[in-house]
Amino acid sequence: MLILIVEDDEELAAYIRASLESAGHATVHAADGHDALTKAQRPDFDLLILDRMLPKLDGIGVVAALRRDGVDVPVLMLTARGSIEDRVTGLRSGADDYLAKPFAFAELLARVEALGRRPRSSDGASVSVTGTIRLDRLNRKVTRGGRDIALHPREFQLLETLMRNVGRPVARATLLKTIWRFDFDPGTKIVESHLSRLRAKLDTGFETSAIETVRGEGYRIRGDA
Amino acid sequence: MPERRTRATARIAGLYALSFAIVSLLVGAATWQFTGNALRHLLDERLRDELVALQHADEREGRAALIADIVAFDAIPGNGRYLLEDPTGRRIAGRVSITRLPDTIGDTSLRTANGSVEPARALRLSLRDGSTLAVVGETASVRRTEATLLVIAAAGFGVVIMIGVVGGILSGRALHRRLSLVHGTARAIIEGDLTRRMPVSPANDEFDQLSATLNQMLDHIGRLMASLRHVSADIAHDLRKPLSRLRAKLETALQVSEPALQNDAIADAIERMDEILGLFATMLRISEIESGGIRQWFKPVALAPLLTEIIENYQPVAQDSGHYLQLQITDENAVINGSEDLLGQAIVNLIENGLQHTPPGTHIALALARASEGVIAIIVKDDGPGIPTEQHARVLERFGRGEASRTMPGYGLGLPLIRSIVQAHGGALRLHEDAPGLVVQLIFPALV
Repeated sequence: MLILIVEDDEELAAYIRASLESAGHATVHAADGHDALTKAQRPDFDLLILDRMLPKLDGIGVVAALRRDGVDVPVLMLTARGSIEDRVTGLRSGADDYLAKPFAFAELLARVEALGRRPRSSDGASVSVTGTIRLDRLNRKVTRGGRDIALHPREFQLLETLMRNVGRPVARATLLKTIWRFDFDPGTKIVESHLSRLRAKLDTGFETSAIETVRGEGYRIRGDA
Repeated sequence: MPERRTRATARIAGLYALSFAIVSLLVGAATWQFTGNALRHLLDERLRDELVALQHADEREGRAALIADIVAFDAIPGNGRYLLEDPTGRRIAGRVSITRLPDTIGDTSLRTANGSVEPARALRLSLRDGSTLAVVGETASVRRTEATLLVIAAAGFGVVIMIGVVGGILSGRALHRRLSLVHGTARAIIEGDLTRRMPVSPANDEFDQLSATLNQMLDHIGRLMASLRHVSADIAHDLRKPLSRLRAKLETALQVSEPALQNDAIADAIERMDEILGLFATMLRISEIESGGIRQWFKPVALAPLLTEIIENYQPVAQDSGHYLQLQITDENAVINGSEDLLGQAIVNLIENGLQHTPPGTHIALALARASEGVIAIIVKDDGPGIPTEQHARVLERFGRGEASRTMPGYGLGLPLIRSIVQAHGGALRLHEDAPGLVVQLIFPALV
């Protein structure tokens, strides 16, 4: 993907660029709101990563101006605060997603790829397959090695989210947000409890565990599981 | 500042004196004008009466009698006051000497015996045969009275100005003295003596009332600062532990050479870091909720489905930690005006609190019920160790965990966060000791 990164903190911008480029994306950098508006006119961007607080014109202003001009590139807004009001005004002004600083890079990458993929139709595929696991979205059926596995709806959602990101770790915060709609971190192990049940059901009778814990990043479903 | 205050005091004294001066000047001028006019009018009346009397003498007793009267009157020592001329303008009688004779009545000047000229009034009348009769009255007495009045007025004016200036200075000084007491106290407080209070005299005048109000404000600020200090100290204290652990993990990462161990240590450090960030996120969330701006996102929220979903999500967690989680809904239709996200967070935190602060085997029972008409209650009851009643106030303060839970995970923000969410929804949080166990009751105004 070609991604425009609008971030006035040079160090953070360089880090995001390097990380996204090592994940196979091309990046362009803008350091303030006006610069961003000029550069975003280029029609081939797949995504905008936009800081909320910018010199000259803030992120809300940039996204509002772009939407007025009919530029409908997906926008991921970054904020230092993550308050409810920030989030709501950000989404109302036309941003597509919202990520509070500081964030785990895995989290940023997951959001970037989810947004970049959003318009494509391949996402609607009714069946995902990885190694021995087959997930049928239409019939809400999961099999491993041909054996039916009965999953609780929450476990099905967990597996489905992980299967969308085969081989890549999905951050705990992403799971909390997409499955439980929590934009906060509950103290106990809600993700862990559901995941351990999912693991137990998936792994019965198999040597290798299908879901790995990637410490500091999140959970990943193995491509060959 | 002191210079400015002195100027204000002087301005008050000046204004005071100036207004006294203007009022007394106006009163003096009016008195002077009125008195002068009245005296002149009296003189004219007297002259007219004399002239009429002389005219009667002429008509009833004849010209000779008139002349005799004039001569007799003019014989009184002093200046002559009468004049009788025949129709040709020749003087027949009278020894008055004036500069000009008005047609009927008017001002003129009188030549006195010693040669000086004095202001006078003259009244003139034509007799039946065409001769002219005139009476002249000196106005010197009127002038003298006016002059005396002027002197009295000037003296009064001076006294009034003095009273004005002295009164102004005195009241200005009194004002200055009262203000400098308040000023001095405020200075002392700014310089760090937070125990100082404005002096309040028993007189209980406006200044004392102002001081009393300022003192109430200072007491309130004092309480806020004490709680801020308390919270800051607690934050510093509670951050020390995760930060030390973070530091230790990072030092380990530096020291170990085996990549797998190093990665482990770094992953541990990130977990510690997330713990600290979570603490900050909760603190920010509480202050955001308490600032009140979130109400604009409120909409009707049905509580029964929300609670059902959360309980369902937490059953695996409760099973893993050996707790029993139950939900009893007696009001399926409870709806309140609020934020589903925040209410969800409050309920999740209630359950988390129960799971974290009670031992395995504890029953945690949630109930959704209509407490009374228009009031909805969410009640969470456990049969764990509970919180002693005397610690209830403390656990509702930020970082104010009960002593027993100081060593437990969580940063003492659970109940304060729940309370701020409930209060933002116009509700209230109540704690009861249930011997054994704790009852947390959330009360909300019902929408439906």
